[in-house]
Amino acid sequence: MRFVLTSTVKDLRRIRRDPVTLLTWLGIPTFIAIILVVIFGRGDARPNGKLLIVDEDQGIGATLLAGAFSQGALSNMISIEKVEREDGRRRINKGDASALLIIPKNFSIALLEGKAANLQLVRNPAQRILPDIIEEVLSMLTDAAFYVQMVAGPQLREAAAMTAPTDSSIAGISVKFNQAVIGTRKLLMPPLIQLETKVIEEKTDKPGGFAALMLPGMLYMAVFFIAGGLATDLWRERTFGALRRVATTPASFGAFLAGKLIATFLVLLLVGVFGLTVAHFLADLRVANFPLAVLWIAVSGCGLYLFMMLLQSLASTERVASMLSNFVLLPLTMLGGSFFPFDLMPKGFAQIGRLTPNGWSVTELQKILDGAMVTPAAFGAVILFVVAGWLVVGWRVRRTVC
Amino acid sequence: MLRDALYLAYRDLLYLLQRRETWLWTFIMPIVFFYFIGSVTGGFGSHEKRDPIAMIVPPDAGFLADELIRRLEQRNFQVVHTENFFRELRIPPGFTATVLAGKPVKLQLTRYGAGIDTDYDQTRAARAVYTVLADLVAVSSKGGTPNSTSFAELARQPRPVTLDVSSAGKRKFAPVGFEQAVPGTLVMFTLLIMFTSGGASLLVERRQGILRRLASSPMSRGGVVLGKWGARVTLGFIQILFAMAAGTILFKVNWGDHLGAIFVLLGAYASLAALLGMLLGNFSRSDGQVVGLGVIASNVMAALGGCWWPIEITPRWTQNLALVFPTGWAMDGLHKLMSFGDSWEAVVPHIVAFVVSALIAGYVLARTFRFQ
Repeated sequence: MRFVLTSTVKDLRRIRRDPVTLLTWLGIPTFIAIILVVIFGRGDARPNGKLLIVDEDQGIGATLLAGAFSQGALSNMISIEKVEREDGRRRINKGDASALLIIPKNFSIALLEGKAANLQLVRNPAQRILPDIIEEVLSMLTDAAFYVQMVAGPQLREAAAMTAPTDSSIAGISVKFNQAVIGTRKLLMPPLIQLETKVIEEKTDKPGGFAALMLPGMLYMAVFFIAGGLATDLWRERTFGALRRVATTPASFGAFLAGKLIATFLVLLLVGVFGLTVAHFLADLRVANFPLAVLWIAVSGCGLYLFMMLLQSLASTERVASMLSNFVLLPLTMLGGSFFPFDLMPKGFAQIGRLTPNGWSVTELQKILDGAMVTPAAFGAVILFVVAGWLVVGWRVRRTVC
Repeated sequence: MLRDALYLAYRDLLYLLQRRETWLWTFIMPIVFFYFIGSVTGGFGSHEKRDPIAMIVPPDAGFLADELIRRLEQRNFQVVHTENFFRELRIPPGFTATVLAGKPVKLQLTRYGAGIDTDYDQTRAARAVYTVLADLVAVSSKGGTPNSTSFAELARQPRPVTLDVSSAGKRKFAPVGFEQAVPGTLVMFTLLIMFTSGGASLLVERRQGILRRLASSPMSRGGVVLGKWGARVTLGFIQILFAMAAGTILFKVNWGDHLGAIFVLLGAYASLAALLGMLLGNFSRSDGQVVGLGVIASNVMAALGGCWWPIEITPRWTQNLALVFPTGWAMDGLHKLMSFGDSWEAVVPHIVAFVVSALIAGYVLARTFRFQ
């Protein structure tokens, strides 16, 4: 037991001597989390772009068109800038905006008189979301122009034709407009066809938005990297002769390994506390059961540590070990929900990802964060894996040294 | 000095190419990343791909339901008949008869998940529904009888206001799926490899005394730096060429008409990335530091430079900030060449910026290069 403690203290001292390495591994998810929060805030990702408008009409029609983009949610996504035709062309060709809208001369008159008018929209080919939104809005407005003409075309034409309106002509046209409205009242008040929308929020819509969704997976990226980094220590111990020296003492390799495992457990406890605290305060990540979540991170992280150590012990040289662990680590972090959350992955990838050791750990952590308890079977499986890993790695290390 | 540098670069490159990890990182991992990230972000999806929407249509729904389906299809939806779909529109029984009898009818759109896509779906569905109502109003206001014939006649009427949509540059459609993911991943991966492998290998050489031995040779400091850089940047070129070929063959990426300009742009980018990676290796004290800082720096630059997501979904300040980072210059240049179909002159400023930055980084490295 004393030797286990000595081995633990020795490893913790060695880790303390190179804090920069540990901090950089912790820094990866922290920096990414900061970026996500800074860019997207605590909500969903919203596009942000500019619509350049060449207003050659200078009339009410152009004002109405531009005004459509200053309403509600659109105004938060699209800003309007009026430009000259040449300047607009030059800027959209440079990718300086999401789209360029050219409103032709006499557009307002054409709108009132029901004459042909052609709006031109030039899309930025490097963007997709915003040009789609702009195109949809404009095409809705062209539809609206058609229907207004269908219902009140004669009245609009009459109003447009008035050069010096008198009181009686204004009153007359008002009456005609009112009659047109009365004609549609039984269809529109209330509308005979109504659309009721029900948006059912999913797991992806929890408070904290995109950033909170990404963070559990990212936390495991750090845990996996730290586990991988600490596992490479096996080679350093071997190169420096520490393993050989242990072989000459009465202490067992099992105890030596147990010491390393306890040191890793303590480091991962710290990582869990740090990571969850940062995620909670930075991105509103809901942590229903903090101690259990931290414990889960540390225990499952020990499983990942032994898994990486097993890979190290299977390699013939340090170089091969490094290559093997990279080859396994990166694809597993990708599939295991660290690059993209499972909810955003295609179903097939997500299914495979949830079966990876880290992906499964992320899924269980997510349950703990949401308030569920880890099932005894899940904890049992990890403990069993850790014990099996400890035995196998101990055996492999003994074989390579003795 | 040049001869020494060339010799050192050649020997270093041979050594690097003999290492299995070089093959792993240069030829295998990028493909894995392209495939994974491209698949998650849309795969071989194209602009023609329609969004499926489940419609629950009772048998007695009538012609207005057919009109609605037609308009949903015009709005880029593909109507499917799957129960409990994440995007579902339910039409009540006797839909047309009830409407024509003057009684209001409620259609129900159910959408799982919030966000911009849901907003967009709602807008398109509402437009489809309300244009059916608008047609009903238009036909009735002219004293016509609402039926499929009168609706078809109305649809044939010319629209006074039309919208002509075109694309700036030569390309007609924005890149999606692999076409978007492969260039972004390539830019990120080049930086990641140059920062981690490029930096760490320098550190290992210092630790193993290789750099000390080079210092005792007649080679000048500048020659050593140039040689070390030459090997890394050549490896970067090989990686870029291979990734572009793999992108074209495996992932059907259309690089546009200016392949040469793309290669020069990415080559200039790799030159700078190699030097930055060497600076990292020069100042770091352990492998862990190089790899950790390299991963952080390359990920931060990739995220802010627009490699991870379309830069249009970020706030305006981030879009401007992107142009501070080499990743942002590279992505901007790639958009100009690939999305806009611009000629090579459009990326001259980008290439000049890379070269000037590389010269500055090279000067700093040569002045501070640590042999031990």
